[in-house]
Amino acid sequence: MIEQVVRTGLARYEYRHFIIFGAQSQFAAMATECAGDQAAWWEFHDEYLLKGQARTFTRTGAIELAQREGLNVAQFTQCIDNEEHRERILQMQQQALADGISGTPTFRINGQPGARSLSGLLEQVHAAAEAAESREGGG
Amino acid sequence: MLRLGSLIAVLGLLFAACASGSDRQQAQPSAASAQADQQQNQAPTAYQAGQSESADQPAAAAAQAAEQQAPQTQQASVPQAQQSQSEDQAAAQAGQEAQPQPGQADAAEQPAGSGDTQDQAMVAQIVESGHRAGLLANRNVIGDPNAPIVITEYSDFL
Repeated sequence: MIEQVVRTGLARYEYRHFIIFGAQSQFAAMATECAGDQAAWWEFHDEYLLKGQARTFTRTGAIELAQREGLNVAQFTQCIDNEEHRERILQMQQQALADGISGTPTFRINGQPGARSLSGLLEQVHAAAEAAESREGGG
Repeated sequence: MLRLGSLIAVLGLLFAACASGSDRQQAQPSAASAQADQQQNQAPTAYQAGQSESADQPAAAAAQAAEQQAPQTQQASVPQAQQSQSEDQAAAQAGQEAQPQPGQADAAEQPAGSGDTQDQAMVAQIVESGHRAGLLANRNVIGDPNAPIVITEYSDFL
């Protein structure tokens, strides 16, 4: 999807936290936002999504990851200890609930319900792009 | 007469024993069937907000592991118990809104599920291939900020 529609400039991809599994998930989301303060949001995203082991969802695991990614560990540690992005996560969650999200993974294409398969999503993206083009052409 | 009586008694016992064994054999498949049903019910492919039982299990396991490995983790989990009332309301709302999404088995990205190993291998391959190289990335958004289409994924890392 990244190659076909994001790299081509047709779409941008946005990840939003939707906490289902409680404290560990919320911690991982907050740690990822703290990493985002140092331009390492996607590195943490990949690590949590790829490994997803309990160890990485702890304070110690997050700090180790920050060290490995070459972040300013003191700043990162302060961020997770102070839960600086807690409100951001909660707001994201509440907005998702207000938008009718109830499970994961859930996709939206320009705010509209997305397909549940990659091929379906791609079709929707191309259809939305064609609709946008025709609107521009008509207007 | 005494022998005939004994013979009838023995035959009666044998009949009773056979009947009991038959009942037991009939009972076994139904127990296996119930077990199979239970296994089917325990194989979720997508996760719902408010899945208290299935959701709590991995969280509890992670919490236990965290306690064993890093006592400092308590700092992260303690404030969780002090969540605001609005958050509780949101969680309750999530529980009420939880609906089955059976078709999500083939979703593009899944945090877990029956094909975990394959999914993780695929994710690993994608990550190692440097899929984001050359793309604009700003926190949780990747790609051209002026792109006409926005693909939003709502997901949980765990």
